[in-house]
Amino acid sequence: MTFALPKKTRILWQIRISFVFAVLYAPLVVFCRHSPIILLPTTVVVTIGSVFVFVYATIYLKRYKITVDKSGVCLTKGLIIKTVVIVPYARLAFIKSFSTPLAALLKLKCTMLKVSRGWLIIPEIESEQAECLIKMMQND
Amino acid sequence: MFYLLRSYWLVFTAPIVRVIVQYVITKDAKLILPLEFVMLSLAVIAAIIRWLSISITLTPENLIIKKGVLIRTFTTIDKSQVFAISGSQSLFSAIIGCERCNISTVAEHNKKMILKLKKRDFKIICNVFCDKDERLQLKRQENPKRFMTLPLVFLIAIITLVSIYVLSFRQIGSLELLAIIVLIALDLYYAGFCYYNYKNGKLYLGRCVSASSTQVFSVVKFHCNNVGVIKITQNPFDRRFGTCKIKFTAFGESGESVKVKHLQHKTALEQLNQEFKLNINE
Repeated sequence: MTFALPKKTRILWQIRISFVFAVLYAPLVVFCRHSPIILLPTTVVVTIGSVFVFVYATIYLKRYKITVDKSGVCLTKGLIIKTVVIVPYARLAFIKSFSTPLAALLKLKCTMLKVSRGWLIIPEIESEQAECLIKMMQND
Repeated sequence: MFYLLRSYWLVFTAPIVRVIVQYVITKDAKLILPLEFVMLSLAVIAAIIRWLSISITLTPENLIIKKGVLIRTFTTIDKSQVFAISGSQSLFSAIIGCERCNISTVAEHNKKMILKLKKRDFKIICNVFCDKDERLQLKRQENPKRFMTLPLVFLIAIITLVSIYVLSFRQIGSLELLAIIVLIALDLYYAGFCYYNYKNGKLYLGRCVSASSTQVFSVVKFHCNNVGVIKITQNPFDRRFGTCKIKFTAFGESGESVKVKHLQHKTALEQLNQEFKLNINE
């Protein structure tokens, strides 16, 4: 079974990244009024942020694929550096799923897989798909 | 024993630093002071005593390690509890003819059993603890240019920086010359490891995953009975030439891993699918 991330996940992450950028660079924008010297770096930063939010994050999340079969879980991700991570079921310690208030509103759940050293994070997917994924891993 | 002297690196480097600083300031420096001589002698005696106190016994089922001077420790590692064995060898280790052996077991959290062994002893331990089954060898990129690309890029960068510096300041002092020599030496050192990777890098799949590769500035040999996570990475150059890098991490908290580069992507995927019963597509 292979599935991609829903469109709602892309919107959710765009909202999150935009919010973080806004909080970090609001002081810069305020200072621009008092000191025009930092107008150019602020413009560059805002442009880079916008490209990251609306272009890079969109394509990255669109290309994210999750494959679940009899032997294990396979995550395909990455835009410039493409990565495929394979975790056999026998190597999974446990699975955890959670959702933030905004994700719960959009009926999305994030799943974290505990492997031998560290965590493997599957970004927000539909709640039913997350539950189906957890059941498949429990059965195997 | 020479490897154990590394623990006392401060005792060996402090006199060298002292001589350099004294020479720069006063243009006159004694090579060795009485106190430094005493400290050096004590360090050598301590290394000899520690070396004499270590005993490693290998049986078909266990590895028994006894070490310690004041507090004697006795460690038994059962064959069935070993997940991975890896050996790394830097230039210093290669000169003194030994290999740093890391044994990852089921209960180690961020710690591995580390031994310093002769090369042949490391091979014997690997043969006992790992069921070597080199059925499938993953094919690597045969073009040497791919392996030597990064050292060449660094060399071009060094030459460019030196040229810019000479054009700007028109002179190179002794300190700048020393810095250039050190940078070129480091680049050639790195190129040596890339060449070793091209000639000797291998990856075998079977009951035990075995790999020979380079990591930072050391040669790594890895044997793993229980693979945890497999990670396949492709940067834009890899996608252009049809190659990939595969990283195998051993199952267990220690996270022992090896990364093998310049593998042919299509063949690697087919053989991984076959060996681990996966279904990954290109």
